[in-house]
Amino acid sequence: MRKLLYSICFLLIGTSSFAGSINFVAKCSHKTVEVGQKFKITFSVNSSGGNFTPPDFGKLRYYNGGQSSSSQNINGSVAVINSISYIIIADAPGNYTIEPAGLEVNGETYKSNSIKIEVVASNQNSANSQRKKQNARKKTAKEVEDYIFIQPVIGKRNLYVGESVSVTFKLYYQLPVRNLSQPDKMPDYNGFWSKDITLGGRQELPIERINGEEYNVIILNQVLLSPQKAGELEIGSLEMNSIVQIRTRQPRNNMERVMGVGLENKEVRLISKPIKITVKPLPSTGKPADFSGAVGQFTMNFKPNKTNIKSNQSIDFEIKITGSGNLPLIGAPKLSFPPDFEAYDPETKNSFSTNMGGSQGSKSFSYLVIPRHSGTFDIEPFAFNFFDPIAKKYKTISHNPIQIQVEKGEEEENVSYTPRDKQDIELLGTDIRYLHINNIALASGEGLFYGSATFYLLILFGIFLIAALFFLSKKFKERNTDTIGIKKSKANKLAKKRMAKAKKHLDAKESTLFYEEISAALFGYYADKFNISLAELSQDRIVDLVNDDTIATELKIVLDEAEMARFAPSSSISETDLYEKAVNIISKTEGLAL
Amino acid sequence: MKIKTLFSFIFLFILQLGIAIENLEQFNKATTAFDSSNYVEAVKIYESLIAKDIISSDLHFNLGNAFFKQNDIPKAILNYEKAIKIDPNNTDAAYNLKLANSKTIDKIESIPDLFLYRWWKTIFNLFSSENWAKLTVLVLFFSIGFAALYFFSNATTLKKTGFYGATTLFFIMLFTWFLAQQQRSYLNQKEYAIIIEPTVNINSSPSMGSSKLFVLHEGTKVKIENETNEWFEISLPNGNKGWVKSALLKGI
Repeated sequence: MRKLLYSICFLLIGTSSFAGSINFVAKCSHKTVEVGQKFKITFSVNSSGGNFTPPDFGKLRYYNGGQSSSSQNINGSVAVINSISYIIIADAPGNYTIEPAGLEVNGETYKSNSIKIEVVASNQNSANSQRKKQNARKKTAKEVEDYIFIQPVIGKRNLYVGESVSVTFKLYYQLPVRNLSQPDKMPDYNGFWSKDITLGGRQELPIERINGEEYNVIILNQVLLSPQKAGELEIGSLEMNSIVQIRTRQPRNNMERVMGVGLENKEVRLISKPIKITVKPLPSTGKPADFSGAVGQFTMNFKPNKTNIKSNQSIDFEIKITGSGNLPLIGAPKLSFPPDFEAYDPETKNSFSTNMGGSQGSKSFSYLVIPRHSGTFDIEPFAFNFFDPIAKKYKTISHNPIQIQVEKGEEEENVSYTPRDKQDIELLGTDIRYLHINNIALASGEGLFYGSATFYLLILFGIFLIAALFFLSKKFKERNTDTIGIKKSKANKLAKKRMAKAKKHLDAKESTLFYEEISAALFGYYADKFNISLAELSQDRIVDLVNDDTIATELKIVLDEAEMARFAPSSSISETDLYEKAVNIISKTEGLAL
Repeated sequence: MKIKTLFSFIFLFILQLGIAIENLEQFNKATTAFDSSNYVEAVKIYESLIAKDIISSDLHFNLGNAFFKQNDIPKAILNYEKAIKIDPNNTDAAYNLKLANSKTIDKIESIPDLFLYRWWKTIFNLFSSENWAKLTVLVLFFSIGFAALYFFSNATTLKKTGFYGATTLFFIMLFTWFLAQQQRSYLNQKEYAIIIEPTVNINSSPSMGSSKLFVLHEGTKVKIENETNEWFEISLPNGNKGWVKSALLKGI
């Protein structure tokens, strides 16, 4: 029946165009198998539709089958691979050939390759017999399987990561159940967050009808699952033992028939079928950077218990998330408080219930914070992000900025002040120095000396003074360099002064007195000049001291003439000439600068 | 004409004298208020005097004391710093500043300046700009004295002394003048600032949304490195840098 089902329909969803050529292949998991060993034959095609004709397996026994579809990204284009697989068991050794399977796509028929397989006899007799035994037991179990089985019921098989789904394991039975033990193997929920939400005791449900037959139903186990990763996830099987009463159709012996014992207690191993779930990853578009993984529908409330406090007192900030979704998985959001706040780890309070529909209620986080210093602080806006699987998009709830006013507490300094060194502690004990009250310069800005007109005038005056001194000294020097002229005039003056008496006598025409005065004046002059007494002075001495030839000769002429004329007046040199000559001698002597 | 000018000069002088007398009266009133523990009044008067463009180290020192007594440590620190800035020789202000600084919260390890810079600062802070200016004029006149000796003496040794003395003193004068100018521009520019608000966040860039680097508290002295619209880039003696709203600081 099932085989037929697989063979007939290979019609899958989607009618994507066959852009490339159709590649229809058969593959076998083994080349050589033992008798009784299962092996897998897979037919795969890179198209998404068609009419599949299974091959004839001949003497090989069909055991199980399945169908899958996968998409592959080849050179940038997405190719869909559809495959059908068969689990086959060979009952007898030998070489088998599996004929090609056929596939009809758009009116064209494709053939797969044929597969050769060698089946050898099992060399382990014991294993073989055991297998046979198992097969036998299975067979008996199979008979019972239709009367008692576990059916997992899942809300939906297609969900987002983080979304919640409930799974209920129901036991269907028609046979009288003698004993029902606790499930000894719970399914493993790899990749899921799970929470057992089974109500106490076994819940009996009303009779259900399957394929026209009535079944009693018991809820064995209920679990809430939330996938934590994307992909194809499998919920494993739940296993348990039960003892059922089977009516054996044919009594094994007469005794039983007589006793009316047509019933037998039989232990049945019940194994539920695994369930495959497709988990979609959360969309990456619009995913907030600080998304923490909350999935569901929520509201958030954020507030401090007070906004106006003194330093070193505590504030409680409370974040309350209300709604339904994966509440148990929501961690405490990270709040960033001003660095001056001493923040403690948040305290979590759960007030939600988890049931078939997921978790509902609220979860609150309270953050204890102690501001250590005064000031006005803005609490940075914090946003709570979650994914709404119904709206299929991310949602953000943010709160308005909160301002905390911290006033100076009484002990602020004591708490925060840490003495730096010994010196500072000593300083603390003393008081500040008193006001300055004397000699206060209360000049306004313009009254400052530097930059004032007075300052610049003084500088200018100084520079002017230097210039003036420079010029003054230059003039002074100029006059100093003209020494001959100055000395001449000076010496002339001196000579004329010395000769003043002689001039008087010349003017009075007193010749004798004139000549006397000439020599007296000259001797007096030289005596003064060389600081020698008149008694020590002679004509030779003067010549010696003057040490100048022209002066010496002229002096000799004048002195001789004056001496001669005193006693015998002559007229070789006139009196006026003599006077001039004497004056000249004194002048010249002065000019020598002895 | 000449008499008119003279009269206007005399008038201006009397006016100035009148203002000075009035200022002194105010100043004494502030002292009285301070002595009777009326610090709020004292602060008011000192601030009104400072508002008159009176640049006085003592005035800031007294204002700092009035703030200190009110336990307004950051403003006390600000005014002590200003007092020291105007007159580096105000040792009382330096003492009180040290005391006030011991009451601030932030403790910042400072990296010592380069020794050359330290020396330079020591020289630079030897006098206020006023005193440097007075020194400049004094040195100039000494230099002139030496110049005169050079110009007028005939003896070679005296001439030499005069020449070298005059040139050396002239260069010293230029240097002190430069220092006076340095002190003055230092006085006018706001290189440092004091944090006035109790707790201040230092951001990584000049916008409120930028990440917070560290926190400073009132009374901490910071260096202003840069300035944009409403924001200062500040640096700490330990090398940390960041941006802060300029309204939270007051320049020294």
